Amino acid sequence: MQASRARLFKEYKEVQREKTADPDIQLVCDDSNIFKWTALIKGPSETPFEGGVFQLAFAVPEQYPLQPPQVRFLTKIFHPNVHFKTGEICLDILKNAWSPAWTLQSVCRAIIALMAHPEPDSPLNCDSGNLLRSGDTRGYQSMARMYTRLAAMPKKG
Amino acid sequence: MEENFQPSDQMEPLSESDRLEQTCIEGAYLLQVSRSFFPWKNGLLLHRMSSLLNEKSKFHSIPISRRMQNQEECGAGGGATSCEFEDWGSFGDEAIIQQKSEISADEAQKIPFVADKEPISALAAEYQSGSPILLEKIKILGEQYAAIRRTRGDGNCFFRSFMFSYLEHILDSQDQAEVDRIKAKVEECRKTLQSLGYTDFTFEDFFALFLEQLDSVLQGNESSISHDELIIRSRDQSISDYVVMFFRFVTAGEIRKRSEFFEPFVMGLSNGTVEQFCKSAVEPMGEESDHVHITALSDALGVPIRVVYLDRSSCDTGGVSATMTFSTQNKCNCWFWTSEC
Repeated sequence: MQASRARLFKEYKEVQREKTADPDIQLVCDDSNIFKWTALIKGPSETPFEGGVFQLAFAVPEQYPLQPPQVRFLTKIFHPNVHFKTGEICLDILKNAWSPAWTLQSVCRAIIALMAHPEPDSPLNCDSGNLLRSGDTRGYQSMARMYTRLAAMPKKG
Repeated sequence: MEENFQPSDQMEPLSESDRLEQTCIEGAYLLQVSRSFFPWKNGLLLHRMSSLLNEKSKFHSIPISRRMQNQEECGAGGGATSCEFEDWGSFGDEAIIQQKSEISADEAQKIPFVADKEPISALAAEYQSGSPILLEKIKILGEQYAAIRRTRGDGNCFFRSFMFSYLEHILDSQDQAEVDRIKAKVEECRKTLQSLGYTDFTFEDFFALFLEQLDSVLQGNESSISHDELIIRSRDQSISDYVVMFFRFVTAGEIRKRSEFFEPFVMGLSNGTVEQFCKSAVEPMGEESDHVHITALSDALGVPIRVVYLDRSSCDTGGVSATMTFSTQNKCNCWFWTSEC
């Protein structure tokens, strides 16, 4: 508990210091609870998520950093490795490949990389995975872009 | 360095051990029971019979690992996990992780991270109805080791065995020069990680905790601890796991620093690059150790390790004492009991 708090505090300071280092990620700690974080990440360019801003929620366990943070999308996203309803993310580093060498910031980077490089063979969203697996890239991109517009684009006006 | 990996000529175990006696740190010996035919995969860390005290009660051993049913990959169920979930606790993967932790808890009840000392005869009793080759090998073990300690089979057994043996050795020997030597090595490891681009705060807590344990096994300080306290700490997850993680960082740093050397061996274990191997098979807790990990840790810290491999194989001639040795250091030290003869 104490160790996880100390580690998170270091990450917090690092995030404050490096605020402008990565313009695609905006990581924010909850005002009253250092175990709750949110992040805004920009959809990577040249993907159907380009132009969208996606919100992630982090719940950090007491055994952090020996155990990974729980992360999910709060913003609806059409992606093979993200559960369409819950926002759960299928990413090895959030499960069995986690190690304390990762940070909340680098997890965000990994999620952005996952958005650009979906793994349709281990889908949480089968509809999305099946489009890609059947070679219907156009169908996948179209659906993903539609949901990006519907859910992840700042409303104009 | 290259010649270290070439199997040397067959040697008689006892004469070899005599040679080792002069160069090895007592205590850091690991006997890994073959994983293939036992319901529990475990390894046993053996403490060598003390050449100084010449009393059998001095030694220990440790069992290694039982990997949980780790096979559930997160996407394996595909849509099967797609029930309606409302909160964090009911996610599909969450359920899997919870199940795993229940299995671990179950395992934890059976055996602590580091168990009490048992005589080698306890090992023999376990295999009484098993292969005579194993029993014969256990008998040979009994000639060189007086006791075993088991370690929990959670994938961290090698690192945990090493931790306990090394700290126990320092506690018994009070070898200040060795402590100074390893501290210098630890500093080198720290620089290695920094030069590889690791962020300081990701590893510094683990380094600090190991150095703290190192200081506390040296007597004469306020923070000094007894042998019993060392056992208690080795069983305390918050300390034990942090030290294991320290060794994982050190191992990963060494493998990546000398990636050209390790690459061919890594290729035999995985399909990816050396860096990917470290990310997926060295740094994560619970990933089992192989010869690459053992060699790297031994090299990084300059501590000799001997691994004794116990399996059912035998020579064509029926002999069971065949050994293959390779050393992880210039000082010969790593030792496999194996079938190749």
